[in-house]
Amino acid sequence: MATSTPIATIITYAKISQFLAADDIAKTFLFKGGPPPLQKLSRLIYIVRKQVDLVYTNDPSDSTLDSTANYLYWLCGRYINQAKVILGQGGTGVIVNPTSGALSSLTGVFVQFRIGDVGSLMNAGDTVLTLTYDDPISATVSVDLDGVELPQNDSLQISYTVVYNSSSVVITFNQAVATSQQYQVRFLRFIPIT
Amino acid sequence: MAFSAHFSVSQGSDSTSFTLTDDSTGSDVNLTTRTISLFLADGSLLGGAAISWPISDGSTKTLTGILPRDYAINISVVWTSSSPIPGSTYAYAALFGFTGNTNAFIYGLIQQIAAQQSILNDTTFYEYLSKLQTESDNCTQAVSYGDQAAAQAALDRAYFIIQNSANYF
Repeated sequence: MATSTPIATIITYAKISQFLAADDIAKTFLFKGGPPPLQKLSRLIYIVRKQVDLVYTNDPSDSTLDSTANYLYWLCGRYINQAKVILGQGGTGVIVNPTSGALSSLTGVFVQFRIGDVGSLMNAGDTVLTLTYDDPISATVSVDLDGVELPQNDSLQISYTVVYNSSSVVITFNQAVATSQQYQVRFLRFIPIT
Repeated sequence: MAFSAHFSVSQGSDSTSFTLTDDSTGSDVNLTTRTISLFLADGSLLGGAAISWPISDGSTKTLTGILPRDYAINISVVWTSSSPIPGSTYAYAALFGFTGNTNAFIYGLIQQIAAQQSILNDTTFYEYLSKLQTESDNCTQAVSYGDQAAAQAALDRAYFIIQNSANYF
């Protein structure tokens, strides 16, 4: 039996759920004037989580670990979604990198250079520009030449194509760049939140 | 560079054993041997005598089957040098609380609950499950404060429950 959620994640959910359950229990006592049906829940989540964590640390391949972790996940039950929101893994206003699944923010990249200047990213005669940045977002690259936006993949004039990789964008022009041309490149990329 | 004695302890899934790792800093080429002493809360030595740890054994020493039950042990290791280097330390001691047996028993109870959740309605099952976890945590807390007596007392209370488990579970 495997767990649908990684055991380490279940343990993290449990650490949050035990407090959410304790909060629930306290509110039930306060507003309903008596103990809730699951008075033991917070403490039980704590005990099970501690032991699952110990076994997972000492012997992740223990044959009983999956079933016990699944039981822990069940105990956390209705608190899992709240735990995900607290962890930033669910709810509104959250950006997730679809490739890595990592919680992320967005940032813009702006690169400007003139062919022939010191530090120019391309030399006269080049046709390929490779920009090394992690997690570029597809379909966000735009290139301006001397202040005019260039089209993509247009055989009737100077244009370019883009290949998006996990750690770079590769821009290929259909004509060689020339001295004194000024290029401005813009695109968006994911920044993981740690 | 002066020799500074130090070791660390780890316990894996075998609750009757633990491993010492010699992570001393500096060097002394004249080291001849090491000696491990396991002092219980009552001042006696676990096993009745010190344990030899030759330099030739390497940096780790696993004491297999040394723990018949959980103990809070003041572990002392002495390094012997035929020509001690001035400014060096050749002994190190620290308190460790071994809760493997207690935690293994608690884990067994949890597996019972996972298989049959209605067992929680049993009059004393949950109460004594919670007490066992509390005593395991009490030992850990006492060790963090360097209180061997309190740590051992917590383990003794847990051991009593485990030895009389038929009455509680």
